[in-house]
Amino acid sequence: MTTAIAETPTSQAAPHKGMTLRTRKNISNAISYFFLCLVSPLFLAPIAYMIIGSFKPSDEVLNGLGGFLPTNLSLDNYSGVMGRFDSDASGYFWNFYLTSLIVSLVIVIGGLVINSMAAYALARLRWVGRNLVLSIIVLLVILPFEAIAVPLFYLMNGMRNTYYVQFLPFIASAFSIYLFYTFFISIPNEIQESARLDGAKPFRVFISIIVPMSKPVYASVTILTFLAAWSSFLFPVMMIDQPRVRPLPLAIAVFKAQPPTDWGQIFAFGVLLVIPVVLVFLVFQRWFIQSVASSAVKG
Amino acid sequence: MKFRHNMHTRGRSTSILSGVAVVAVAALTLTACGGSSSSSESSAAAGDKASTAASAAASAAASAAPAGEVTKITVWAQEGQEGEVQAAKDEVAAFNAANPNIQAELTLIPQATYGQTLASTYVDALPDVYEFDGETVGALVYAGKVAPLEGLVDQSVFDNELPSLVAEGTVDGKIYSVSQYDSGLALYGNKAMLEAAGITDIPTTVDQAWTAEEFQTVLEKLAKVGKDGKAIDLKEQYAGTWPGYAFTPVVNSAGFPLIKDGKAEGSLNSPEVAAALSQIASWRQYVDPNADDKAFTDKRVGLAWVGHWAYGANKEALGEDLVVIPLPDWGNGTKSGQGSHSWGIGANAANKEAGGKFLDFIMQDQWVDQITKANGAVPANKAVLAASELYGPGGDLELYGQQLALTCGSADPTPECVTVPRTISAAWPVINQKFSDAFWAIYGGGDAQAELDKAAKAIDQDAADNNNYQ
Amino acid sequence: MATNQQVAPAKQRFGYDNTAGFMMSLPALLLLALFVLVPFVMAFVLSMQNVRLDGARPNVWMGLEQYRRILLDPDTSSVFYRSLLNNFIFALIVVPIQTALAVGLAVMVNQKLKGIAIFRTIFFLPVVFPMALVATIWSLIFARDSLGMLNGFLAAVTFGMIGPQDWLGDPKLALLSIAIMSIWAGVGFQMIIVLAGLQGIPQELYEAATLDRANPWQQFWNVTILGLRNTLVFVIIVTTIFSFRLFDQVYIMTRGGPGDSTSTVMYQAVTSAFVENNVGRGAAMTVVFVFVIIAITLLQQRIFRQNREVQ
Repeated sequence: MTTAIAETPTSQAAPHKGMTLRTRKNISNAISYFFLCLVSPLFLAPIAYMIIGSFKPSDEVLNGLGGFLPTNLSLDNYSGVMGRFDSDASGYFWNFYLTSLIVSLVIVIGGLVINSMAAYALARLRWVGRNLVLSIIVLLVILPFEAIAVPLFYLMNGMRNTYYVQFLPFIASAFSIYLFYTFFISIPNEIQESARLDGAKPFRVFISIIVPMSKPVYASVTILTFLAAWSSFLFPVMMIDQPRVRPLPLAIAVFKAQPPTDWGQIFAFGVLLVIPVVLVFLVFQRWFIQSVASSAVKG
Repeated sequence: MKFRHNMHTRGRSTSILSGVAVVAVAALTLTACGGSSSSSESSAAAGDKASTAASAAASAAASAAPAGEVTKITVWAQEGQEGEVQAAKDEVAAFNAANPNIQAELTLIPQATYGQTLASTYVDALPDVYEFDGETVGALVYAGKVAPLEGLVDQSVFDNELPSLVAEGTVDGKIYSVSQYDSGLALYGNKAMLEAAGITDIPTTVDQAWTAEEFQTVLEKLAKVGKDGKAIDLKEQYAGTWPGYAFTPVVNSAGFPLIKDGKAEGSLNSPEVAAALSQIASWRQYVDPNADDKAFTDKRVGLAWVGHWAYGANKEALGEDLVVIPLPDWGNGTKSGQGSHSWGIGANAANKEAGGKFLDFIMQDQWVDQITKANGAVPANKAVLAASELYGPGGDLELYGQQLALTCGSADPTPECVTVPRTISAAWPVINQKFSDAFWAIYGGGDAQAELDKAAKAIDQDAADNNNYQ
Repeated sequence: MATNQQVAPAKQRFGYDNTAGFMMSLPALLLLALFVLVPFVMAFVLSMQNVRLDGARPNVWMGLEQYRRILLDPDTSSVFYRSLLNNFIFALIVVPIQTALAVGLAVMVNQKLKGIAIFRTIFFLPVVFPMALVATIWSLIFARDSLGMLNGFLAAVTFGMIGPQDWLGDPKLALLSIAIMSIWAGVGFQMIIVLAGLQGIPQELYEAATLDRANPWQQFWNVTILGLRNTLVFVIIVTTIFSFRLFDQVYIMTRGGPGDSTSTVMYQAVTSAFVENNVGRGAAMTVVFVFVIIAITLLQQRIFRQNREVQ
């Protein structure tokens, strides 16, 4: 925090009057980098541990700090993971991937469309029952999925072993609506009102004015929704038994079956599991952070 | 649902070259299931394809099959240990080759979630034949998910099986499961380390078992030669419901079953049991946490409390120093666990007879031999056990066979019997969970009596809620 | 509720847009009703019965018995209260620390420095890891003897002064360990929200503060934190809700143990239903849980609103 304060324009309050602005700037930058470099390893270490471990023999993964040492590296864990899934009986790795991808994409895309529309209607349109609906949405944000998993299981039992059962319940999301809502509400009302005065219909305003200026919230909802969909576990456990519609997170359970746990293969699976999420993140983070300032999000 | 399912099977099979014959099978089942009247046309077409392909098919099974009489059965098995998975695949392939009229289709489901998947699958969606944890047979019978096997499975199968497994599969006088293997639970010892610690009276048969006091001394001595003052590996990293298997024998050895006459109160929470479990908790200082699963093989500790599955790695690491020792005796004689994976037939299965044939097939000595060679478990068939180099007379693991021959069956454990089937009760999932929770709480320093009281009360309350599982 | 106060000032120069409002919200509301609201109402009904997940027997009506056991029966309620207490402890550790860290990190990455985007990415990266995977990695980091990575690290930086800790096996440390891991995994998300808030604070406010000769510390409190007020309210409420929903980490790393030291309400609810086959009790716990969270959320809003009035 101190670093940030030093960085803000404080020419008069700063104690060292003798220094030039430039020198002070350099010092404060150096301090900033120092802190950033101090903190970053804490965030990276567990991830590095997984990545390095995924190339190491399983019995060398758990070895204190030695877990970081890149010794005896090989692709064995990766070929081991692929090799486990090689028949109709156990399914195929690429097929798990495909299933997860299809399910996640439907959830993300469908979710972006309907949740943002609903959030806009709640944030910027007046209609009968809006406040009631809003209260219910906030209530639903609180509800963890685990709380409704069993009733949902009873409801959807007829759809066992399908893609539908994996995406239908997750497209509409109270949390996504809530995120969109808080963003839309912070967009100055004048922007849409002027368009309305010009005769544009609400939907038109939404599509041509609100959506283009809301990239950050779309990006963050995309990342969070994709992550949640991609890691979906509890419901597929109940609803999926056939390998042809089995998502990735279920398949990883194979490696946790019987000790000794094959940590190397679990980490390799973990790396393969996380790649698409990281890709989605890297693609969307541009909008995610950039343009937040310009779109007038009020604190 | 069946209809949809078969449609998918068919689509996939054509794209993968496992043979046109399978298409016929799938298509015919479509008709057999009666899912749709419109399917007759497609099944006839597929049948034609199958018969033209038949001559070309490498599989003798497919060519011998008159397309009209093929029954398809679905088979579920746990996907865990690689040797078992391979054995399951081999068995299904061999069965299909040997029985042209019945074609089994195997589905593997990850072991870690297998139980949950079974619990959340309604009986109509269950396959014809499926594997499950032997200890859950009571719960499956109560849920109406398994069919009695007598009449479906040949009587000789039961006759050949170890008594421990017949006992485990029997609920209310009917047999609901068969098993290809049983489990063995005892201590593995490192003779060199034990002797270095001055321990020479190493028991190798059930009647020589150390008493709990003697064992306490053994641990104290052994800790002096072990790494970092550790003496034993209790496989605490298995966590979860490991105590339900590994430490129920302690309860039995202290003189009590987990539940007596349907009640845990007065049995599970008796002071003797509390004392025995407290003693185990007091050993925690000697226990290697074993997160790398190598405490014993790296010779950090001289004893390991674990099942037969550790034999391969242990033998490789220790060679002639490896000894198998019965679990300590808390007064009622040494006790041990039994039970492993079992097989049953879905209660509403469309093809129960064919399922029975499948079980007959995999229970043959040949397959029992193959799978137990792959996973190291105790062969379920008496003949295979006797012929086994490991488990037979003079073998390294003879103790396991000895223990399993002395099964307590469904009676309360006496000093004479050794292995106790995990409570063949519909309440087993609850008992297992509550006992395990209590064990870990005690192991973590909780008050043994209080924890067991709590567990007993919860078990009995659950039974009362469910009309005592009548 | 959480947002009504924000709705109110939205000036509406136009009349009611009933058609557009209904139509635009209909798809989401329909799906929410079907797949969230209806199951939740079903959970109410299930909580008053003895229901077995495996459908072994018809459901038996139990009235409020499940609630009595959870809340009143001294023998069976202790686990539930312990779990609820753990939820509170967890929230009390995680919410302040995670929020403070999020502000700190956001302020750091809000600087216009070369390569700052890389650091933003680094701090956010853990968020994109599935919790099941994160928990698996961290259970190795927390392994209890000298083979554990954290123990190895501590031994190295303290030259062996701190001996190996049993992070997940010691009742005093287990919940704290899970909290540390959760903060690691989640702080990046809060950081991004705070970052957005920071960028929305008009630069003129800082300039004005400088003219008023506010020292950096005053500036931080009076401009930054005040400017972030609404963002922080949002962050705190959401973090609190997520803290109370704690489940995955516990399920994978400790199974509620040792003892009940890391058990949470959701963990109890899930194990009741899925392990012990007792859907009714799990549902009853869920219902109680939802009321507790509603109470906390309302309380938080009241507190924040009062604060605002004071200011």
